[in-house]
Amino acid sequence: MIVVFSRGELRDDTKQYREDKALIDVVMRQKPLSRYRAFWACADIKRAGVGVLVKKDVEAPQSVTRSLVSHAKKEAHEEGRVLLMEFSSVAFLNVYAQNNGWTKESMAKRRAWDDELRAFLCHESESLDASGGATNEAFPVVSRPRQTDGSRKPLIWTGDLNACHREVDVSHPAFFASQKAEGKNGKAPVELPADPDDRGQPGFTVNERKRFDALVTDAKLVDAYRELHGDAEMRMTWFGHPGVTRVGKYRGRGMRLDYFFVDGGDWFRENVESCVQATDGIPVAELAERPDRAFFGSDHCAVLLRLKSAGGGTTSESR
Amino acid sequence: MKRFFAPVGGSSDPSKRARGDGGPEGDAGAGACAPDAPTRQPKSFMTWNCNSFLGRMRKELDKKSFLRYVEDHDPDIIALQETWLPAAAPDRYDTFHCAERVQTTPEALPPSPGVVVQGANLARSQLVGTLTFHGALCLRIVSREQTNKASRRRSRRARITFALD
Repeated sequence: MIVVFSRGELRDDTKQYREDKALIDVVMRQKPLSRYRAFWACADIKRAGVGVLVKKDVEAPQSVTRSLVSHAKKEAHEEGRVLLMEFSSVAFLNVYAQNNGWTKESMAKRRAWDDELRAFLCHESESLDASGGATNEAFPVVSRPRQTDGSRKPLIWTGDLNACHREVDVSHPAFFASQKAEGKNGKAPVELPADPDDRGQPGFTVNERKRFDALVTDAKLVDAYRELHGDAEMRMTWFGHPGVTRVGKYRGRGMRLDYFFVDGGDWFRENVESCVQATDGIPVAELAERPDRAFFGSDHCAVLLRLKSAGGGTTSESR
Repeated sequence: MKRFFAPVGGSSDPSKRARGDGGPEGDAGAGACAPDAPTRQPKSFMTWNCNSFLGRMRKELDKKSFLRYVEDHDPDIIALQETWLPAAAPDRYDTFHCAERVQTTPEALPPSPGVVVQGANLARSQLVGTLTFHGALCLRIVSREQTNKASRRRSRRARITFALD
């Protein structure tokens, strides 16, 4: 028996789920979200999952993909971590990265996730493109969307990447580097990883940062915010533990986990206008409270990327 | 009976690749091919890990601040993470999407005509009399038996019998 979750649709098989879905539908029908169409990539359980809302007066995406590996292998990521959309001018990738966690198993999952991303972002195989990676099981990768001349479409990769790119991307490097797993409910914490480079706060371990940096370097992508704002300090997008701001060791400590990575070089110069984090301009002391105007009740703030509206929009102008 | 159906990846036909898939109104990109379909390219992008979209939209203050930000910055695209909205369950068959999502192959068909699919959601398929599957197979709906009259509007559950034409 093949079990098929419709990972592009919200669950509605019980009264509770129908009510939840109805609530989302209502929000989507009200201004300002009524101007958007929603695309979802859902997990099979009530966790993770990503969504992309696209304005109705914007070109409908030419394709929507929910997996980074060959369709023959997997139609959609089972935890709904991937939404890839192709427009005429750009490819847009929204991901919720696997958290490194504290255990061997979770770290292995993170490595596999990084490998998947690397295969998608960096592969150059032209032969794959005829089938778009849809039928080639041997090559477990979805092809990067291409332009008509065969070159890669410019990519905008965003999401909660669950990793800090560099030291300047955490508020207290020494603190995060020395974090250890804590035992839950009286149980002993998991053992320290054998590799010292796997130790520390998930998202800030040396190994993760190494892989992250190698990945974006090889994929020739640049961090739009850093490109425009340099090494400015205390530019965090995540603060404290979910639901807890008043207490806890993470109070007032932040990480930069939410990024816009885009094509570097000419494309960047010709197309990117601005990249702003909702926390920009908010005093450090206030950030510990996760102000509503930047976080909207979450532990992550919003980040905004704007492209130049005149010129550069079409493929011929940008290449 | 579901074993007769295998999921179609993103569909091998690129022109059919999930265009407008999963819109909240189920319009499934109806206007995408229309001559007056918008061609404006997305220029502004927002990302936000909402740590449960449902949770945020349930709290007035969170919802208000989020919508305020969207109103103020008017992004063309909003990327959300950790929506915590689970996927439609595996036993839910929506005939509206059958043509896109489900494929049968001649080998997969039963020796005698007549496949029964249970628990299909017929809410949006009132006008569908014939379903065309991939591989140019045509299955005719022989009978439709409504099994759940209580939630008539939202999810009309029914037993459908298909026959091979």
